[in-house]
Amino acid sequence: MSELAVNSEKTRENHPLGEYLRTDRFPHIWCSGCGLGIVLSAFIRSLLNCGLALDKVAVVSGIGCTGRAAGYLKLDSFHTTHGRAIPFATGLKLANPELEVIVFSGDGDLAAIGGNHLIHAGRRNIDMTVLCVNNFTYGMTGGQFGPTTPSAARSTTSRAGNVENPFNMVGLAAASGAIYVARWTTAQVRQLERSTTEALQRKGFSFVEIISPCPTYYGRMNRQPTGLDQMRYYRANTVVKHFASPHEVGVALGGQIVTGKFIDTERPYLPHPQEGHDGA
Amino acid sequence: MKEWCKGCRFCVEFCPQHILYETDETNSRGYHVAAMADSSKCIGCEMCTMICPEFAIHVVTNGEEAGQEVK
Repeated sequence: MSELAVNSEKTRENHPLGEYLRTDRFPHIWCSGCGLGIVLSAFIRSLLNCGLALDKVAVVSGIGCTGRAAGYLKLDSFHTTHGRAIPFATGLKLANPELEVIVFSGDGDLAAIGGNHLIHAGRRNIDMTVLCVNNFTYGMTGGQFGPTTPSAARSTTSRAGNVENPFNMVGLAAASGAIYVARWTTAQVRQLERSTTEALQRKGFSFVEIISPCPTYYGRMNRQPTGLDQMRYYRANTVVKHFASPHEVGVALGGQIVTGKFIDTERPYLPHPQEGHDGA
Repeated sequence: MKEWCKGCRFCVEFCPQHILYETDETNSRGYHVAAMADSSKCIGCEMCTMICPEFAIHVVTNGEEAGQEVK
């Protein structure tokens, strides 16, 4: 057996994904029990699975806990203003059609302030991949309820339970015209990696929602005080239903989470292949 | 990598061989780091690598034998 390596530069470089991370910024700012690191590592592995030239990959993120992901990747990354990750990514893709553009952002960024941009990018079918990490709350600003917080869920601004109806993110993306729509939880890492790989390979607007624990705000308020409690809940209450109608798979507090690949289709996308500026 | 571990115990919970455990040892941030009980039982499935949100654990294969996890 090999010797037990400790915290050394050599060990960091030896991590299979170490060369794709800005390890000088580690350990990252995400809380203990947060699922964002799982999503980030699954995303890096799926990038490698695709065999893409990494200098042709651009990661765009908005504001929020998830928005920090772009800063930890040793790729071309773009940390944009709140909610505007998709407009920046659209411009990036239309000006440089040869780039593989990925939007990595959270539910507060994509569904709330950026909700309009999300539906219009879906309508235009811009060739990009959107990874939306949904933790059902605004984690970075103190746990206020947001557009994805389930009805009756407690948060710092809804102490007696949320009175609003939440957005079903996959339904929203599907209705907007996305050509690939999937949802996974962070407890399903292998499926998540495979699905993200597929989403990256599709030509058009691909949307993957990843349900992720936020023990510090969402979990603590809703009787799942640690990330592990939330992961156990996901494991016990998740069902996989491929090609279920995305409009009927909303997430309720304490209810079953339907995951799977809901839409996988094709339709004309932008930038149109013939109009590319890459000399092809 | 002990200093990166935040003691979330995801690796302990998700290891299919149940050979990881939470130790009493703390790192400089006060988190209890995980360790491996019996390296001969490790099958090298890399579930711990995939489930670790901190990039703190990975599988090191030594020759034909699968498995030393590094924390």
